[in-house]
Amino acid sequence: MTPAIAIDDVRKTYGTAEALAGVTLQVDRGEVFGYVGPNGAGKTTTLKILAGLIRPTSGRVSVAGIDVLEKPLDAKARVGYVPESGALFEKLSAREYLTLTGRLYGLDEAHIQDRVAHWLRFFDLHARAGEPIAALSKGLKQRVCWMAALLHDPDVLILDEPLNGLDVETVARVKDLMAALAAGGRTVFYSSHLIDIVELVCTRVAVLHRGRVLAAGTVAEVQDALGASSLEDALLGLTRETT
Amino acid sequence: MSDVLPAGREAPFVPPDGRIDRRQLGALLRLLMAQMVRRGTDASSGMSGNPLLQTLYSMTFLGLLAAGGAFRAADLDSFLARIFASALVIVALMITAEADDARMRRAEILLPKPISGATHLAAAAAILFFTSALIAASYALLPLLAATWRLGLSPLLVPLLLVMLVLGAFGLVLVWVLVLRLGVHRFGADRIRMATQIAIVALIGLVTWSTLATMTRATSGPPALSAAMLDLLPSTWLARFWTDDWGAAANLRRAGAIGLVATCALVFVRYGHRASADAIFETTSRGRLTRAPLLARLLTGLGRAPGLRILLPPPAAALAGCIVTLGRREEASRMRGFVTTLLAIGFAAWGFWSDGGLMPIAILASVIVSVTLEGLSVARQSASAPAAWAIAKSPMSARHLVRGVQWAVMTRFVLVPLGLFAALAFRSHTWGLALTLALGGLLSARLIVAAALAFRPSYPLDEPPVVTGMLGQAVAWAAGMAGAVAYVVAAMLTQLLGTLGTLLVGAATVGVGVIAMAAQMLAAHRFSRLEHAG
Repeated sequence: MTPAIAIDDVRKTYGTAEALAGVTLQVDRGEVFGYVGPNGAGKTTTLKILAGLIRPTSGRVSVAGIDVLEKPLDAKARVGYVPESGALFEKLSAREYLTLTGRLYGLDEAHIQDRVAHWLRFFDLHARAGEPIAALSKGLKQRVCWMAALLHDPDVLILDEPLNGLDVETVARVKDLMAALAAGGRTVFYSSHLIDIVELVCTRVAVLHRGRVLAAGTVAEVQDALGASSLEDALLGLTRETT
Repeated sequence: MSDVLPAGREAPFVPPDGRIDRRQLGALLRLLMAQMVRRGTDASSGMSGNPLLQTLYSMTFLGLLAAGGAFRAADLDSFLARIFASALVIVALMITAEADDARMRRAEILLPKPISGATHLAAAAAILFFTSALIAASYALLPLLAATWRLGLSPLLVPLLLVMLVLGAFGLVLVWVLVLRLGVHRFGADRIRMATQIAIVALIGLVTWSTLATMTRATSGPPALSAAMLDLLPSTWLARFWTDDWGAAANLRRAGAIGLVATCALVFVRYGHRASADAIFETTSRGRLTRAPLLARLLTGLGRAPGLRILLPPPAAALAGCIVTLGRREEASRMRGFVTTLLAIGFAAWGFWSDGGLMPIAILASVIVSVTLEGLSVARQSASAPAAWAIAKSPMSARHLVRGVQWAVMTRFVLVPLGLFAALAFRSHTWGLALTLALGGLLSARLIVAAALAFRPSYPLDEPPVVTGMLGQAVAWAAGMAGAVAYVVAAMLTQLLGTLGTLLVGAATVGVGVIAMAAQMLAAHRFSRLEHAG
């Protein structure tokens, strides 16, 4: 079976700084895959490459069986992305932003209205959907980012610190959502520092350090590989080493 | 789980590569235009307000100044050539590079979406057309109308000339954005933005100088291009497109104008798509060590000096240093006061090298007052206003807060005009009167800051940056005029009453000092009751 995400010996340099030093990973369809590592490990760079924001210096990347470098539009059409920055056009209302995002993904108007209504209900943002995004709190803005990433029902969802600012109830819903997406055959690639949630929702994880994958597998396998009693201990060790 | 995911799945939509998708283009334009023209905070500069109205106001005002040229132009052709040339320069300078952060956020929103390069390019061209047309037309309209009145331009030609100007401006910006992109890659967005800001200020200075020369009927205005040089400029070909004769040379110029615009469009289509997102993230990934500005370091040093602690206590010095540092770094603040300081230097030069009488010193007195008000608004504002909680929650006394703001405003904004005012005063008046006047200027500036803080106390750097409105500008102008009048009255009193006049001026200065102290105490009292929302 074609993997949902295939990263093959990907390197990325910014000037003289090497952000990724040969990352190789495979994520299967229907997986919630955790991507963890200390600050500056190269997680966001990997996610930006997968989302088609930047190109790797060398190596190959495919998403949903499509080569991201050869057919970027095909790949982007199948990917949803929640950026760490929570970037949105904040002068628009959530409803305007989502409607226009739906058009950018080529959804027909009826589908857009259905999906916008569905996700506004799911993320409990109906009442404030007409306000400019700039007027919303950080957590509500993050919900809009989620909705925009889900609107076109992507095969692969790429999440960079997606729980930033979310309240407890929304985090619980999002955990259910990730499980439902995986059960429905979609793939979630989830980068976060919240190790307890990664352990809870991810079927497999990869630990990245200084642009290299140190270990990948189930949480237990990764703990064994890194000689740590928990994923958190493994990361603490790496972080201390970095600092 | 069935209620979590929406029902029904569609096959993913993939737009044709290399072609424009009209529906995507419409959505993209609506997103970008709404973000550009709606009221709110500008992602690049941090200024809040309605960008559309701000552009319209500022360009129309600049156009009003330029319209004065119709009164001294030798003929219609040379006037039109100058207006077109200046309009194109203004358009180029107004369309500057986006700040790194704004570019990165836009890229994070748009680049992961399946939009073809052709659609991106078409959206960029449409936005550039709208922006360049708005700037060029709002700047040139009043000068063209002035030309119908003074230089016999047919009113029917005004819309046709505007069309040519907009076309030329559009062609220019298509190439200009490519140049800016190269500049950003080589020097960084921040330096490019700063360079264009300085150039805009210089241009405004030139236009103002030219207008003043017209109004005062001075024999010399700013340096201008000769008629022969003007003829060589492509902007002149556009300007004379409708007014030239129909001979071979004129038709060649017409063809040249159209050809140039078409070439610009072709260059944009050829190279415009090379908007590498890597470059955006690479530029922002480059870290740079920063150091506080010299003035901020000086203030902190002064605060530590044993003898000066009474005048500048360390907490006030630290706050003043913080205000000065942010004011220099934040784009919304760093150019504030620059035009006024340039004006002060210009008037001081006038006072030194020509016999301007009391006028240059009076204008400098006016500048001291208006620059103090401008400096105070900069001290109150910051693009990162929510971070002002750090000042509000710091264990700093209200008295030190007021003094910190006073020192920041005085050193960054008032020092240069006050120094020039004092130098001119010593040149034109007796030693005693000059010293009194300089002291009066210093105390007046302190009084203005303290009184304004007492009237409307607000934590430093706690308000989002906004362009000063018409009312604020009128108040600053009126206060500046009051400063000028106060100086003239002081000088006249001394001329009429001799030593007694100087004594009276001295007494008034002491009075200003006492009121400044009282205002400072009142401001501190009101600060102590201030609550911070953050």
